Amino acid sequence: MSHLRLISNRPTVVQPERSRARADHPCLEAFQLEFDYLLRALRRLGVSRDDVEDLAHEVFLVLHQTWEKYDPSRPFRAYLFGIAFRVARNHVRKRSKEVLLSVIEVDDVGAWPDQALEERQQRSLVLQALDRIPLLRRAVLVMHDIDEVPMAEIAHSLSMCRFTGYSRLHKARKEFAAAVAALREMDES
Amino acid sequence: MKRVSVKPSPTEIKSLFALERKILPAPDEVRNRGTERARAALPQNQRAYAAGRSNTTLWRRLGTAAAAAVVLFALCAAAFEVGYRLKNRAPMAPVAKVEAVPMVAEAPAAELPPSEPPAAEPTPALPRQTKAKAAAAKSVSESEAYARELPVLQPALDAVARNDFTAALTAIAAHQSRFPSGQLAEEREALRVKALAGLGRMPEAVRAGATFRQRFPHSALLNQIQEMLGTQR
Repeated sequence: MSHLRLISNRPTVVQPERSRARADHPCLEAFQLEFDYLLRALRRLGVSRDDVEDLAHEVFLVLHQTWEKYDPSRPFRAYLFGIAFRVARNHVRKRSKEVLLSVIEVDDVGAWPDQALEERQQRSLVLQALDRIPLLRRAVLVMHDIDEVPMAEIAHSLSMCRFTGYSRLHKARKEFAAAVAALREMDES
Repeated sequence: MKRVSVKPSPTEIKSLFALERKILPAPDEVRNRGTERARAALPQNQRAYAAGRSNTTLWRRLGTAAAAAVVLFALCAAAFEVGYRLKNRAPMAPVAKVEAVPMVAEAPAAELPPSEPPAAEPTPALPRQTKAKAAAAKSVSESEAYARELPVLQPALDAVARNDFTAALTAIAAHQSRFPSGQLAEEREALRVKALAGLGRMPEAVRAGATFRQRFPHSALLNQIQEMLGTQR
């Protein structure tokens, strides 16, 4: 049961039900454990709701291929996000040549009916604001400020130096604040 | 009135991030779908192997069907060609002039058997024959010509291989009498040079070589013939 090491590396992950974790490969089990997180991470990276399942599968394929390279001493979510970031970047590049994507989707508001309306609107606002930030900076912002991953891990996962990471984070925070302000202004007008 | 864009405070940003940090569970159907796809992609999964096997079987069947279709088409084309030939006994390729000076005495051009038709004229009896059909018929007739000529020339090849050059010349003469300008004329004339040189009849071999060079100036066998005549001298 070497795959259980993954759980200890993820302080924010809720222990899953045993039935859900039933899998025949540690890679698949880890994928199942972080499936919800992966879907949301892909959405934060600008993947549309229609494509998110396909891209999650692509992430799994890469994860399976590189499973032997994964260092269990490092946080699994950061590793998974690194894969998701690369898959999403390729996807967004391809899609940007075909159609102009807009993250403002009705599904973002009504995906979970049990949520309070205001909360849903706020989450939708975050996605829309993130979509206005270039992907490289957005990935740093999401990992650092939302997923609370240390910059050392971010730099390792996204293959960059720490200084670049902090620089991107600083700029992304400004862009995020400006995007939120612009979106609110649009909403009020 | 000028509208002022109010930037959110750091506290607001933090609360937005805190809200976004909460990961909501995906619908069960989405989760099950994702898990099943992932499980099916695992190589050690039995279902994946079964799917792979069934795909392989399908491709094999498709390949067999395609091969059978090709064979059937070829048979139909051959049957059509045979029927067509029987119906319109048109002559084959045009026959060129017989060499003025035959290289071998036992192969006179005047003794052409009646099976070799005279020069073929354009086929006025086939006005509706399209170019494609004509090309197809030509390729088939060429392959048929090879098939008919090869058994006649094969004894010459075998004889040269065992250095029986007299027998080779006899077979060469037989081929020349039946197919003076056949598809294998080039090979026949090269064999003639080799046989004559092998028998030590060098003047005749040189003459045959010159004739060969004149008749087949771009032949791939020219170098071999020149080398052979050079070494035999």
